[in-house]
Amino acid sequence: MTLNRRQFLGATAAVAASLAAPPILGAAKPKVVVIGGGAGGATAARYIAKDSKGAVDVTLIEPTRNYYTCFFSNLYLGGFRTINSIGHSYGKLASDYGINVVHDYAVGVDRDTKTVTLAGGAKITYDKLILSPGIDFVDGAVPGWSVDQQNKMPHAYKAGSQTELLKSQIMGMREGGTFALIAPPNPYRCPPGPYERISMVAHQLKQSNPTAKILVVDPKPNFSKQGLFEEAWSKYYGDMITRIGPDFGGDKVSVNAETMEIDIDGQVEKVDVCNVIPAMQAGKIAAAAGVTNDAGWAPVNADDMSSKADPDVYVLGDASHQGDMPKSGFSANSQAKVCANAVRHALTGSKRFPAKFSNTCWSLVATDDGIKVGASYEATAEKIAKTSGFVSQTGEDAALRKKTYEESIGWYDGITSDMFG
Amino acid sequence: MKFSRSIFYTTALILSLFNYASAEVSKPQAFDALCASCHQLEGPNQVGPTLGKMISTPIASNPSFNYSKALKGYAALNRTWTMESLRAFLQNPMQAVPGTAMSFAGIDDEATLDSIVNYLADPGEATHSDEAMAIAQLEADPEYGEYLASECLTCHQADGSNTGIASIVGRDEVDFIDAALQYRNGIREHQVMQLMTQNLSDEDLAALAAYFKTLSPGGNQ
Repeated sequence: MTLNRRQFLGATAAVAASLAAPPILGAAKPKVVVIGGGAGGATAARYIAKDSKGAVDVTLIEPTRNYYTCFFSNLYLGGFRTINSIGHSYGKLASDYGINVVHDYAVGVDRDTKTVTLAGGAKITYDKLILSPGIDFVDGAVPGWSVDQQNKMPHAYKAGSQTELLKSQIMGMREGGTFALIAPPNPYRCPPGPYERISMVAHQLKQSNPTAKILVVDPKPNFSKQGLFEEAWSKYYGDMITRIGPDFGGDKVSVNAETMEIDIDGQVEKVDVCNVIPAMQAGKIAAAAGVTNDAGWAPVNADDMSSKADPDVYVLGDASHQGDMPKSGFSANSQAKVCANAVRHALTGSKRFPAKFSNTCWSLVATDDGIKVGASYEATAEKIAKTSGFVSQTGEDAALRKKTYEESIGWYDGITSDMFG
Repeated sequence: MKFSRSIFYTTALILSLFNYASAEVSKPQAFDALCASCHQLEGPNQVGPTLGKMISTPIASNPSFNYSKALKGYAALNRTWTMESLRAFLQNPMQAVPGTAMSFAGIDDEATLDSIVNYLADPGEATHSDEAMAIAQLEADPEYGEYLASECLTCHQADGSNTGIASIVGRDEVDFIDAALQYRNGIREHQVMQLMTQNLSDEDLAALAAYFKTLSPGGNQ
């Protein structure tokens, strides 16, 4: 008998189900499994472990031993941070909080048997599962590009070796060459991210390659903090930066990684470095768990971040489809605390408090020139809804901008110690 | 004997009432609005020197503050602040002490001027607003405080480190509430802090202040 793939997977699941011991009520500690050790997952794991004081068994599954934050990775491209300064280990979460940190990929979730399967073959059962897998790219979103080309045309939108590769390409670019950035359509991780990146690359090139050009190809007519970025670009970087929006074909772009050409609605440009940031969807494990919608994101209830598909599964951060919050590390960290409070309540009967959410996104546009946008949010029956917000203004004085930048450095240290202990 | 004892008690009562009243002069909101961006009442000097009891105190006498030549010259002539000289200075600093480094236009409103001069005459223990003192009396649920605090800890570090954002751990509760109120009431400007405090009720502030007081600089949370 030949098993086809479906039968094989089905058989494996059945064996796994038969091996899973039935839970003995009251005997074992409740088990929480968290997939993804970024701003959502690491925070949720830490808060549940810290606040339950050992009453909940917490496992954190994260493939990398050294986690590089996406936030502030643009500052590394601009020469304001070292790569090591944005790297973090999970040592404290294990030693100080008793979290079982497993460095592996989660490749499957069986919600019927409440089992997570790892790439290494291990299976871990859960009472509550928290998915915080971040983003993956939509195949074919930029014709000619796939993850197979990421070493020629990096995305650098998951920080680490991709970010280092992009930096080395920028530093090695021929004099007067062209750096192209293909911006993603909405919704995507870190709305100001591509534009902060443009600012930081321009800052770097202005010093190391001042005749270089930057070409931004953008499918969106508008973008986050647009007025503030454009003011900074003309103030600091003169005519170095050209942005092509959808009115000039920015939404009809394909690339050729072999010839280093990009085709913008029929007009072909030869470029020297090409940073492709394709359209995004929830990290693939969310789809494997069967909690995503047609657009590839995971709908959640606003009051506790539980999946609309399964009350024992929660989805945090970029992967979630929650309403008005931007996909940012700050948002994920904020959502994680609401989720941790609800999960702990469900498992141990601890007090449950009303959901509160907030976000601020800082961006650096040049030396000592920081800008920010932020808002607070509430949970409604329908979604996470914005209640009020603020944004930096154009024409602010230099002292305020410097203060905003210094504040962002304080925030970086705050959120990373809130994530990693 | 009975009579004189009664006089003794009456006198003691009057004295204690007097002391009580003096210690309860609360900080006028105008101080926070007009002065507090540069002057504190305790802690290190900011843009301006940290202020204490002003009346009968030598002018320009905070040893760790670098005063302008103009104010040092004024101090050599006038020695100590009086209610009159302090009033004149705060009404129009440039006119009272030409060349002073205090870049402040002065206070036109007579009532505001009086409230600040009376307050600075001897701030005593009254470094807090009535509003903050009232909030500090509210019942505070420590668990709720800890939950609310998690929102602050995205930016403010639990171990009190300040690498660009102020420490809020281990502070006196009324101090904490007063600082938050200055943002919530729009006296101190900061986009993030104004937004965050607008969403905090009086009970929330009391719970937060009680929780953050239990954290100590250097960690151990």
